[in-house]
Amino acid sequence: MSVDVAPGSILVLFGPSGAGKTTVLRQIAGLDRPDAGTIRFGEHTWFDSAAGIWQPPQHRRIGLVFQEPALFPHLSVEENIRYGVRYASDRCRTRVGPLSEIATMLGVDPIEKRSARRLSGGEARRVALARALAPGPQLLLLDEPFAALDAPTRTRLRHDVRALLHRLGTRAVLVTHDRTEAMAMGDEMAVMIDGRVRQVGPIADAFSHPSDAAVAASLGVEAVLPARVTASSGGLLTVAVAQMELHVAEREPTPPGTDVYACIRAEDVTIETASHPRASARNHLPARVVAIAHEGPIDRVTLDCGFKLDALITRQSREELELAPGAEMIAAIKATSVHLVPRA
Amino acid sequence: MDWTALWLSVRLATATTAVLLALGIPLAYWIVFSPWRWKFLVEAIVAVPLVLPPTVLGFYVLIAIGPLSPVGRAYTRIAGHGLPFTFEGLLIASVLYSMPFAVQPFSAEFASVDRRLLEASWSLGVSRIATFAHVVLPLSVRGLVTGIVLSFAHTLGEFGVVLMVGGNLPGVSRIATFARVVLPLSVRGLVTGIVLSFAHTLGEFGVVLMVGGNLPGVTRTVSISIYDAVQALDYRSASQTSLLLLIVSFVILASTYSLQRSVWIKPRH
Repeated sequence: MSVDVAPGSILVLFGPSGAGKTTVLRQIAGLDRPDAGTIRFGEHTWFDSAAGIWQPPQHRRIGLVFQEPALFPHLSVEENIRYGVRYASDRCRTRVGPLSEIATMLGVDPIEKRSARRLSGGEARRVALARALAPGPQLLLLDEPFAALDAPTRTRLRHDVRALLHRLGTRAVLVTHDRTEAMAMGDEMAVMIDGRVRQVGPIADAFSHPSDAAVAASLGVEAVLPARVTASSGGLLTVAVAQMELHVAEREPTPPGTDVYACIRAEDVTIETASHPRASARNHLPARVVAIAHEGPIDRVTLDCGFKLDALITRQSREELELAPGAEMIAAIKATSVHLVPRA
Repeated sequence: MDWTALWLSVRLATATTAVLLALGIPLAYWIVFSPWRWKFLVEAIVAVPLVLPPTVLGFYVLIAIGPLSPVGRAYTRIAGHGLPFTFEGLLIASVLYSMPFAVQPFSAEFASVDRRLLEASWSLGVSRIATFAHVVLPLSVRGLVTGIVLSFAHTLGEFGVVLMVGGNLPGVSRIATFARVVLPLSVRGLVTGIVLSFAHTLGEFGVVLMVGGNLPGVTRTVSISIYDAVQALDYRSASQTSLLLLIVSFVILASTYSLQRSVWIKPRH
């Protein structure tokens, strides 16, 4: 596969456990050697079995963060962070900025003198990130680095890491099987199933338009729409999606201005005719039927409401509503059926 | 008390330990990190002194450094005298015989260092050798101390008592076999340490006698001194020396034990 990742952006390597994500990451890092093929980063060739090229991890200018922080237990936090700068044999390494800036942005400067053994899980991850970023890597590799953390710590770390990468302009590859993490952190996404990359593209596209059934199954069948919270009142958020507005129940405090992904499952979308009386659903969007696919007794109706949206209805309903491609209908979605994932 | 013999044993133990430190660390590193598929042969060669009857090892060392071997002839040309029945000859035998006591704790400790720490270091641009120096060695202090202490202790502490009193060489092989079985299971345990030292020091008597002979101040180590004392029916001198060695060995092993348990314990992820 080949992906363009803008400076400061994150490529998510997504897939179920055992799909081979970590293997790919280790091969990019140079810790494992593929049997055949090529690995290139920019104009650098890191591996080419035909040409007999193999760059060891030391020469790839990467940063690596495992699921476990793997800090050097005999060193202090500061010595851990300085380790690469101090001992790297490759003299051409350049630091992107003063170490203290990275340490400050990750909030580890107050614990710099502490032993690496005496850190909480969240602190240890922050130190591991600072250590990986300190020598100024051209690519940061993250292998489910937040998996073992509690939810609030994880959310904060995701946000801080994204902000820091953006600021440093460092590209990253993030391995995860957690779709919320993929949406919160990722810009581009590669979906891996059974050792193969099945789909590559911007993250919302991959979720909303899976290339095949296997990819759809691994991602969950759901529309994922880039959106922005525009207003909040009485527990109800107003969210702008394309040119439309959705009303969404506010489960977690989400201030206006937050970029989110709005996730809508096809089984939660109902279709009404224009003359149908209003029901309890908060959202009624004018929609045009684009396509109808038969999935056993269920029909999948693809609608265009300014954005693509799938609805699952029974064949009986489809026949009663006389649905056909081109028909103008109303898509109804309950405010509680729209799930928001804030972008970290 | 034969102070000359004791001093010689201390010198021999110190020299042996120093040589084993210089040879053992690179060898253990190579054994742990080399991808070579036949490296188990080298591991076996290192471990041979644990199971080979000591007189056999002593015999082969004597042959190998004797005037008929190329090594012995080359040494004689350079040094002007032969290796057998000299301190240098004794040192060679002692180093070979003590090799597993240094190399096995070293390699066990190197191998126990979390591999992700090495990978983290490599990914930070740090070479394999520098990673070994800055990560593996500092985290292997416990194993290094164990190896050094064991090498020193059993070169120094040649009890020889059982051999003298019982004179039963097959017993040595049995204990050595036990050590070979126990060793892979818990090389750092106190029991293993005692068993290894005991089995080993029992045997060293034979190696020393075979290669070194019995020259006061040159090759007459403390175990041979005890042996001579017993032969001469001087039980007072023999028991004094024996007790001193027993106490020294006990203190050394007790210190090793305490070091292993407290200060150097590192967290496992």
